[in-house]
Amino acid sequence: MSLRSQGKENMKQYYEIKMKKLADWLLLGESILLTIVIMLPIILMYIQLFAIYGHNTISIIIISVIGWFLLMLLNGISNALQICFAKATYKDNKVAQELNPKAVFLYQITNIGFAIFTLIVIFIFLILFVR
Amino acid sequence: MIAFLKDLLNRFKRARVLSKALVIFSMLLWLVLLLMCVIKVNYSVVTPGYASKASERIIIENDDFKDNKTGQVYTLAVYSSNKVSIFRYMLSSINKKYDVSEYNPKTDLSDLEEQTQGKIMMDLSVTKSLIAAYTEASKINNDIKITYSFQGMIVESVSHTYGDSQLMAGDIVTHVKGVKVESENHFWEIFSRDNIENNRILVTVKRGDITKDLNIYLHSSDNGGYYVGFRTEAYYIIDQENTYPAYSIKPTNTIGPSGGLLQTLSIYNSLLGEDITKGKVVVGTGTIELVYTDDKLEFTGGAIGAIKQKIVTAYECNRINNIDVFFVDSYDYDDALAAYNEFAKGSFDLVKVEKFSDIINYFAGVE
Repeated sequence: MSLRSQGKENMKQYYEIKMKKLADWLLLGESILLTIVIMLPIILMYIQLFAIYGHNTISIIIISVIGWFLLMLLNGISNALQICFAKATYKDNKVAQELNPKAVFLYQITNIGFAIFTLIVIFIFLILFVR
Repeated sequence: MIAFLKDLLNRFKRARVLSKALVIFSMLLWLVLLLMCVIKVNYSVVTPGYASKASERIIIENDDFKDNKTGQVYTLAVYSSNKVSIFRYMLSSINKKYDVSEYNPKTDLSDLEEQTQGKIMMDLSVTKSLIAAYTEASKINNDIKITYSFQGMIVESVSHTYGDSQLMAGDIVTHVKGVKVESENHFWEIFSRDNIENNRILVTVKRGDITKDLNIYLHSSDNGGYYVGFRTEAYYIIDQENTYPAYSIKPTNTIGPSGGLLQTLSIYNSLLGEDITKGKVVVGTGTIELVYTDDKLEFTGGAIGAIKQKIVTAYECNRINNIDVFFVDSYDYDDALAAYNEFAKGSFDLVKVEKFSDIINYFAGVE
């Protein structure tokens, strides 16, 4: 089984772990928060890049593609962190301990469903807010 | 998260020296990058902006003029930011299309003051565009008329260095030492040394509904004169009841007066039955000024800023809109030509405009 397929399988296994709803949401929230903290300089740089080069059509396209990759990366990091948190929190849970954050990261940064969703969001953003 | 971070810390303690060094380096890099994005430096950056259709701002409401064409007339805007981050400063410095200049928070206008000044200038620019366009159009169609009156001199901004803090942006100076201000020329005649005593001059201002007498202080200059200490220009209001056809003004986020010349063209075009621009895509920049020479009123193009960025904006818009002509006021023509030759050569015609009538004459010569 490839690492990506393992990641896909791991995500299914993760959702099957019986956790309290609140604990699940907490792990999700914490993983998003830590992802934002880790990526904060890159996010700020990206926003400023958009402010500087946002006037040029070609630049906007390039920056949007970078933004798309950045969102995929954020998704990968946040999901991998969520798995790491779950492993650290549920040390007695056998399934949780077998999850591989690297595999989840690889699966999530190449998640086609999320890629299409973010592409649509970016497209709508460009239509609505960019002159 | 805490359990995870504890694990991470334990692993860090047990890690090899090289791994530890790599982690510390990454954290330092993270900190440096973050500070570069957060710490601001005293520099201003001007970047190219966007083109917007001049007809979107002022609409001629009367049914008789409803079908008239406004033409494809665009004004150009640029983006300007004071006190930018280190990262933004570095990126802007390496781009020839941008202008980076030092910004002094003590002497230069703050963002809010610039916004206020820009808003006043924009509103006044719309008024002057309407006056110019209606007056010129009335020479062709006798039904068109506009009635307006001079109200005084509006204060657009007050200098941090030489200004008197009693004055505020938006004040309208109606009298100087008790003498009613009749015109811009008259203001400068009476706002003179003869009426300054001990570096002070009495002005009467209208601030909203309140009228105030202010004995403002003027700093002496090295050549024996005085610094005015505030930026001002003639303030007119239009009597809409005695103006035909009726018009409406739509709100905008854009500030500043640099679209005046092209705005005038758009209004003028929509007042006439035919499209004088002959379907050309027109952009440009320059303020519209009401100049009285020997009691004869002329409409001229006035100086603007950031001409390089406006040329670049036009060039970048050209990919989508196929711009035919770029009108520029005579004060900025040389700089515009230099920028045109560097960034946009051959993309469109660059035409120098001294008076609004130059634009009309240009199109009269177009087949």
